[in-house]
Amino acid sequence: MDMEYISLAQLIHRAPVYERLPKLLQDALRRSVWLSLITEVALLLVLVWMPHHVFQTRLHQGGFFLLEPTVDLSNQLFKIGYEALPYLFLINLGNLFLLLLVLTISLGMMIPAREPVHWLAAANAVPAAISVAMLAAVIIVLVAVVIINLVAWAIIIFVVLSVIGAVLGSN
Amino acid sequence: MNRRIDVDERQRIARMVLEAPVADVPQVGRWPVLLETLAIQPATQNLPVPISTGMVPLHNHTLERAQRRRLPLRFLGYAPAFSGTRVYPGANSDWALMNVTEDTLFKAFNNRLPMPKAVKRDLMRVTQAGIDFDAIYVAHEIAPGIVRSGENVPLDLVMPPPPPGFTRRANALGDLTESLWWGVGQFITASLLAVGLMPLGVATGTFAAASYDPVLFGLHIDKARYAQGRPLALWYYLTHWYWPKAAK
Repeated sequence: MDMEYISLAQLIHRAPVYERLPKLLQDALRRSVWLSLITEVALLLVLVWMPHHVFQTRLHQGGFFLLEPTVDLSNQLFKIGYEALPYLFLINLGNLFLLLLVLTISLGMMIPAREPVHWLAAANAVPAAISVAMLAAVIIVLVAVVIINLVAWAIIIFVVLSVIGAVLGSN
Repeated sequence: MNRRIDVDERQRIARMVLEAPVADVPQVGRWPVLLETLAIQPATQNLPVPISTGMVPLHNHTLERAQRRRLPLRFLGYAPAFSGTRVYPGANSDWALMNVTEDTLFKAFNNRLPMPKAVKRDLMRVTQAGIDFDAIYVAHEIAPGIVRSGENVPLDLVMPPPPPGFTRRANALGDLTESLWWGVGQFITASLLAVGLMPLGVATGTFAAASYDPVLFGLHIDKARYAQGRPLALWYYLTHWYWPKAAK
């Protein structure tokens, strides 16, 4: 059987540089990629399916919303949300594309990947995490506005009932 | 007439034995043990057949170029270019020597041999000097008693650890993204439920892994002379390196 040889020139031409050998994505990075993917898909679904007029809603003082600062705060948030909507959509769509690129290159993170892929996977977490935090902040502020107004209503009702009780009691 | 040819042939063989390059076997470090265990003959006297005349100019060309460019090439001697794996017991470890095309590591990397950047650069200097070798053999230092001659060397014995610099950066990226998501989780949890910090254990550390010691040999193969059914070859030391200790 003839031996197969490789010359030095061929060996060097083919030799991969050890320092740049691909590596499996670290566990934490892998979790981050899945989290980012779930976040991006969920966010995009929300942005696509949520009626846009929701952000055009403006609250008015009176009715349930008694306190003017909470009304102003809510309206500001709606305004910012409405203006940021196209940018958020584009950023998250781009990020989703890059995430799918990371998953494709690393075959679902099953095979080792080169260093730039690791950096890309880490960078993907930033817009996703910021989007989640922003969405959570908006929801929390709106919930807080409702709670504050509920508390205001409770105080008013308590005061009114106390006054009524006091009047009826004095009679 | 035949007698005359026979005399000429004997004279030629005698001249070749005298003129054939003799290896200046290094006597420092692990070289004597390595060369002895690899059964490389420093001179042609003990060879069953003399080398071809065409090999001498090739050898001289190689050494002359190497000296001119101050390359660390070293002529080691003669041995057949064998096939399969040969395992030689060393002082504290065994040496598994094989044609690089039969190396488990070479095959694992899709017929490519990974090597440190500096080693690749040094080897490129060799080819840039106009020197090439017909074949490359690799000797892997392995733990004693695990592999016998003729057996394939298990990949885990020769597989280098992941590159430590890249590993450190990959771990840092992992920790960073973990912290980012943890921060987002904390922000939402703290805002909604006003609960305290959740513990998160991200342990990093280093462990010492065995460092392997591959040695590369370049061969000028004498295709006209066979010993033990294999072509005779002039063996040269090319380079060697240590894989760095793994960082996890």
